[in-house]
Amino acid sequence: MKNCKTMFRVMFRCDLRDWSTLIFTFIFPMALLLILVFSMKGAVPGLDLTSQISANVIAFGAAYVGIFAGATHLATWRENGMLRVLRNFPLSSNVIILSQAFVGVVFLLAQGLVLTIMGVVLGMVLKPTALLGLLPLVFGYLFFFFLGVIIALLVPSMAGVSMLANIIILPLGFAGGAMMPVEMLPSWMQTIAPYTPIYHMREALSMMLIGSGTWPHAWLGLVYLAIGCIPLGLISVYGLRWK
Amino acid sequence: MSDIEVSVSDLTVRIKNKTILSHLSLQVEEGSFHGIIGPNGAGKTTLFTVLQGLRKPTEGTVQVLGTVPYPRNVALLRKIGVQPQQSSFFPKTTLREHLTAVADIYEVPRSHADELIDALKLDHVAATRVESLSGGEQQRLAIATAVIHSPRLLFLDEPTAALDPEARHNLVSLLKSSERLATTIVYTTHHLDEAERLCSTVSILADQHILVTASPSRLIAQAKMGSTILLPNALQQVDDVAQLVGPDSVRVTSDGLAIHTTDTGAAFAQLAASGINTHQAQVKDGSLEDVYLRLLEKDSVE
Repeated sequence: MKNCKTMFRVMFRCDLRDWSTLIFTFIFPMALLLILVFSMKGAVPGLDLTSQISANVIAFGAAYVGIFAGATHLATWRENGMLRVLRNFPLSSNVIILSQAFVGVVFLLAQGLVLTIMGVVLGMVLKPTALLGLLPLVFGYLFFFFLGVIIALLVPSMAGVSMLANIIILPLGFAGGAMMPVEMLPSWMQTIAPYTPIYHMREALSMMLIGSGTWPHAWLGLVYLAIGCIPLGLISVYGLRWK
Repeated sequence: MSDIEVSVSDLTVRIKNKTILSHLSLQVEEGSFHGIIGPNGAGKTTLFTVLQGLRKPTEGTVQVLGTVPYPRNVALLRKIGVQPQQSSFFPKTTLREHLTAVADIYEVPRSHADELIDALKLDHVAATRVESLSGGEQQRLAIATAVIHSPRLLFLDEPTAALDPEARHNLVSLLKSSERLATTIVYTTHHLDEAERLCSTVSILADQHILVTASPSRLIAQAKMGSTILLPNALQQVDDVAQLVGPDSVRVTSDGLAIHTTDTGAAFAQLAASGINTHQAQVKDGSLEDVYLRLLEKDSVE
């Protein structure tokens, strides 16, 4: 546990000092929220699009934090040789994954809070079940976190990891309805949307945060994410074990 | 008699059907500063990875501090320190933050970090980010990282390879006072003058195995390298000198005439008696580098 705390401190400090982490964790989703709200606010008369867009962006932001939290440190350490140095320390590889996940959770919560406050300022109306929204956020975060770890294990350079993570997350965000309501997507995309993880994060989060959707859909989303986390988590832990 | 800290017997390592090390045997005694020298691609780093338990031997037995290093042995890792060829640190941390984190991982008091910062003369850059350190400072930090837990056995993989002459000189001086670093040190280098100064024993690794292991002075003595007399003002008399000492013992170099001899006094007497210009003559004794080159030459002929 002490090692976990040490590694947490090292990674957290590194993230706080990294401009790209701060920009993509806070500035990018905030800008996305502003752009989407102001460009689509009155697109569908009678529908509270501000609340919906805010929930969508919070879900997408969590996925974004997750995939980069899983990939960044591992990829950087692998590239600069630190992973090999760590291999010679009396340190379990699970400690690295665990502390990396905790650092990401701190950024996830900070980002969620900032985006929620911003959404409320823009007109999002929260339901009393809003705190339950932490469930899809954390499960969705973990889903993408493990995906990030796997990407970092497969791709040998930080630039490659960053590119692949974006190639995965941006289309998934679009197809999952994070950028615009699923009903407004092309029909072929509407067909694949229910199979994407961000769709389920959104569905569950929208119901819990703003009361949009149905509870069965929300629970189904949580189950989808939880079940998805199991194989991805196992592959991550197995893939990172010291050989 | 000292304990054996590293014992390798009949080690063979094959990577993707290519034999890197073949039937290699090596013993490192407790308290020694043991150098492993050899040409590029000889397998020095591969040998290190096996000793650290990063790679499984294809054949043979390896024991480090009395235990088998592979598979990963955490108890052993607590007793050894490793400074890899490429220095790597936690990104975006200061030198002190990095060392403190390593102290925490090894569960040793954080004061060890401050002591090492002081001992390795890194005080002035303790608050500098690791990315901004010079090559020499990074190497010293890498050594501090490897020894913060006071290991019994320290592996240094070409610690001076990428350093400028001044930084190299400083690091060698630091390594010379090695009792502060670890009980036993195993290190690889390309710089033979450095190995001669630092090592109590050296092993020459070539052609996939250890050719010889001994102290540098013993290697030089055993090889009967003799000395070289350099005559900067006798180039005009090359034929006379060749006739006097034999053509095989004379070489024309850019610095003058070089004469190889096993008896310097007799050679000088002979030269003076024959009227050869010995003004500004220099005598160079056989070095580890000469032994090394001769051994490699002999090995490649065989």
